Amino acid sequence: MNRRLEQDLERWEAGMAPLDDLEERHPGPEVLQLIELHRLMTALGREATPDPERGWQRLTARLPEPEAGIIHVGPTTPKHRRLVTHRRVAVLGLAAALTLTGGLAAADVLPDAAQDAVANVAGHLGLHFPHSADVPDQTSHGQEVSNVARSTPEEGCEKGQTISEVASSFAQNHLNRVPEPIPCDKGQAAGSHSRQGGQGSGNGVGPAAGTTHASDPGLDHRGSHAPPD
Amino acid sequence: MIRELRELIASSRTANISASNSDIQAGTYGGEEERLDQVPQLVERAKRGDREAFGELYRLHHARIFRMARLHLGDLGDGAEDAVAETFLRAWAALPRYRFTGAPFVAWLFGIARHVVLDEVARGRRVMPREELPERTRGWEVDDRLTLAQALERLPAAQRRVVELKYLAGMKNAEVASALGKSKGAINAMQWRALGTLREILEER
Repeated sequence: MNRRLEQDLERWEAGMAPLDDLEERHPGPEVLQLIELHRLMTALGREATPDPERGWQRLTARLPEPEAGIIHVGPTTPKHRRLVTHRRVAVLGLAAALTLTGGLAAADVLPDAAQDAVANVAGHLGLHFPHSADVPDQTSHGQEVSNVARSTPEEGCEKGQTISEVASSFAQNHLNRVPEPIPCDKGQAAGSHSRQGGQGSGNGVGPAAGTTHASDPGLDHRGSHAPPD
Repeated sequence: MIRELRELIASSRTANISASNSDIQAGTYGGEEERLDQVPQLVERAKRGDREAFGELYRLHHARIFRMARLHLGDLGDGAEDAVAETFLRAWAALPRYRFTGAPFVAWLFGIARHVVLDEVARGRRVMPREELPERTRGWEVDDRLTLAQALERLPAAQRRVVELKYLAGMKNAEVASALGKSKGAINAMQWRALGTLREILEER
């Protein structure tokens, strides 16, 4: 149906245009059929119906008693459910705060006063968090390592070992991990071994010579690929 | 099909086809207009549990809900009357939650009635149209209504609501516009578009 026909039918329905005009402007059966349908539907809306009184008499006996005086205004959530919700929010908030604070306290990153307060409260709850006095100042530890590095009279491997011992003292004290010291002579042996291995691969002529691993016995490789004396 | 429907109009007991178009548009029902003005006050009283006020609402809206139920369920037996009773029972229970939105009260009742009718149809209480045309008796009218009801069900939902509220609930186009949240012009267009679609569906049969 086009818009022009819709508008003309509206005008006809409103009594602003006679049917003849409508038929003239829109020849063909469509307009008349639409008008017939409109009249049919209007007639359906006016058909006789039974007396409502009989139906009401039957219905009124079935109507339940209303709860007199109840007028629903304001929030529709029952009061006890609102209380439960408020409590739930409060408990969840407290749990979240404790988790966050406890995590920070365990990581020793809280200010001293806060760290002590959290450690005291956690202690009552059977949890162990360090007090501020238990936590060494990591800045001064770094300074200590730096001072040793500058002032130690030792050289080479021994100097490195001395610095390493000071540096790892933090882990020994607080993480209960004791690194095994590496003797300087063993370290030197490993260093020369590596150098020899590199040399061997450089002199090799076989297809795998360039890919020889540093831990492989280089002398053996060199020996196997070297021309006989 | 249209010729048959025209015959139905001619044989209708109460149809007044010669009524002027403006009278049809106004949707007046013999002095009902004045009584319908009391609906908002009656609704407020009924919400407070006033059975007398609810009874008045029943009497005012019974015919419209009955016609809608009869169109979909047929009028053999008490199917339509039972659907009306069920509609008002549900309305009584839901009244405390009713909020006036500017749309006529009958639009709210029609929403309930539609659910009731669909429940009844699902339960198989609908009287199915006959295969062949019966003689011109009361049954012929029933079949024709049911044919029309089936065609209505095939309309797009928005168009079907316009047809139901305008022709069965007897609402003015401005009231239908208010109930559906559209402009009066949009309702005018939808009404004729719906009738155009309905005509095509009926011609297919």
